Amino acid sequence: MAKPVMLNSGIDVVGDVAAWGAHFCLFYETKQDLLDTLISYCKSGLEREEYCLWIVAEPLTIEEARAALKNAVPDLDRYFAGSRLEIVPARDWFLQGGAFDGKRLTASWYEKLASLSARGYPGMRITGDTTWLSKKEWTHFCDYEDGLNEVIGNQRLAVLCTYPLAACGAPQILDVVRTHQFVLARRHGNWDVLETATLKRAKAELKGHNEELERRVVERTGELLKASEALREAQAELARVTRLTAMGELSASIAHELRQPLAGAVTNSDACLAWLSSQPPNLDEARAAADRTIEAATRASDIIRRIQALFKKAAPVRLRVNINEVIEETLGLIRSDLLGNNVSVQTELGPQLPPVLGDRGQLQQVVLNLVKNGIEAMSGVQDRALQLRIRSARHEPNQIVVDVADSGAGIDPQVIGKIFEPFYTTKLQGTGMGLAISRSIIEAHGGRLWAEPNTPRGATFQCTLPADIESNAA
Amino acid sequence: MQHDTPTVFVVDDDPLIRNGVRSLIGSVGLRVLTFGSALDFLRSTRPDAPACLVLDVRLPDLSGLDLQRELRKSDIEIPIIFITGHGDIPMTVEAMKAGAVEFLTKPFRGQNLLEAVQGAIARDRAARQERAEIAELRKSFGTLSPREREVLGMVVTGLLNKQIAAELGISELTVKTHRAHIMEKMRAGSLAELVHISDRLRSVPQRA
Repeated sequence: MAKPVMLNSGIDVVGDVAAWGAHFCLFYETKQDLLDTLISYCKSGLEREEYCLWIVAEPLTIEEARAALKNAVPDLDRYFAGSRLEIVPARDWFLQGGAFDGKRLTASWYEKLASLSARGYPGMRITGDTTWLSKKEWTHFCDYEDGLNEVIGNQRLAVLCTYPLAACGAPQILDVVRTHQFVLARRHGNWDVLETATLKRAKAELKGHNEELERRVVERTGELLKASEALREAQAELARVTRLTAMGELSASIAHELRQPLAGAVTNSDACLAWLSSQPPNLDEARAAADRTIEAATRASDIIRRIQALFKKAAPVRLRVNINEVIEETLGLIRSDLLGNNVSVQTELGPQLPPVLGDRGQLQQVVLNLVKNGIEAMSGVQDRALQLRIRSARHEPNQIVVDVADSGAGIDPQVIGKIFEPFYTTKLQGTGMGLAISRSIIEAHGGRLWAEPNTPRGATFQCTLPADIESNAA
Repeated sequence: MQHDTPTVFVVDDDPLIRNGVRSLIGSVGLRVLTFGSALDFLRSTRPDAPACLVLDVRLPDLSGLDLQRELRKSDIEIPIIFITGHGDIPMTVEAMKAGAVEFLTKPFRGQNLLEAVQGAIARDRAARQERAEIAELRKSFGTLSPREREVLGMVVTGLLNKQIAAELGISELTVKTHRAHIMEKMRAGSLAELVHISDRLRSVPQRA
């Protein structure tokens, strides 16, 4: 549905009611009423380079209209000279050929509009007075007004018809209201807009369309959010499976690498025992077998050393890191997870903490693991608010402590010693590596990571990190 | 070379295992010959004695399973004991289907390997015995005349001399003479023994 092109009517109270295609009317009592509204109506059109036609009737004269407009638009003559403004007497205009002809008049509007458009005008605004109307022409004029409504909708044309209130009886007022989109009238001394049933209906329809549109947008947005959530979950699952597969492959090849020397050790030990218990014992063969056993065991431990080196890769980065920034960045990363799980986070970050020396990415991973762990620990909770509290503080002069507390199910005291072991998990979809990795990262930074039960419920994961006091002072 | 000393062939590219297995098997008095690759084993001249092959599955170039296939293709019948660092089920099934006698996963205990080796050698000894006997029988069969072979075929299906004579259009006496020659050439003491010999000859497919 295209948005209507709005018309700046210049009349405050009309505001954004009017768009191009507006056909509205005004009931006036005094000459001043007319000047109040029509001057600003015309001025606004002139300022927008629109073509303006002011059809004047008593009580105003052409001269009065022109003088009043000149007051408001100082370079008015320029507009006259450029034929961009006409101020004409109503009788001449409406009663061309001696009688009122609505069809001819409507046709003339379109001819004029077409030639104006060809000359590059953005549109045409008209105001015409009706004091010249006699009872004889009233019905014809009403038909003309009504007909205009049928065709004006798609045109860059605005028509403001002015009616003297004193000359209109109740039937005429009803006719006028019926044949215009909306009505301007004085009410308690102020201009007011009275909408007609048609406009109201149109507006209601528009509102209905908008609501429908909005509803669809909300619905569609919801679908998209759901889809992107599903996509995110699928990606996470994929990443997990990939990781597990890689780990599975790695462990298979590690297993094979280790089985070979272990088999060597076992076979040679068995051979050694066999030679020792033969009659008589063959010590040379037994010694040779024992030597090979030692060689095999040494090879096994070399393999383990190589695997460790593989996992360590490069030397860790050690830079000065503001732990509060790490916490805040990480919370930013996981915000959608928190929102999605209805978890609110309360942070109590200690002011002016000294930096820690560390790898920002690794520390972020620890915070991420702890927060995710907290979210997951509370996933089954129904009867209370899900709250995660993250604190950082200086603990002793050279230590920073960070803790993450949840109000989840807590940790079974039976397993509290196991939760940092690799592959230990209580979750359906866990690798069991998160806490193990977190602990090894913190320990590599010279800190400690442990868990404690929370009162009345939940668990607190705490880690300490050494503060970098020297370089802070330097 | 003593004719009946059992030999254990070991093919493993890892010298620690190769030598460990050699030492272990040597400790029970068996002869052991070790090879670092399947090709080395194929190229070797092997003694004509009861034997078995202890074979690693994962070998450079020709794998243990490839070697097993090669041996079958060349009609070399030797019981195989596979040893492997990661015995997955499909691989085990393939090896056992192709006639492996045992599949041991590393690390294995020495006793298990020794038992497998003893079992495999006993099996090979029996198989060799069987093959020698069959070869002997086939040699005897080769000395029969075409007519004697014809008569033999009818005798073992249970036909009487009279019936055979009628069938072949010869005299009953001639049939009797053929039978006597057959019994002698096939070294059969009775009709039952002759039937048994005939069965053994039939059960072993003739090979090119």
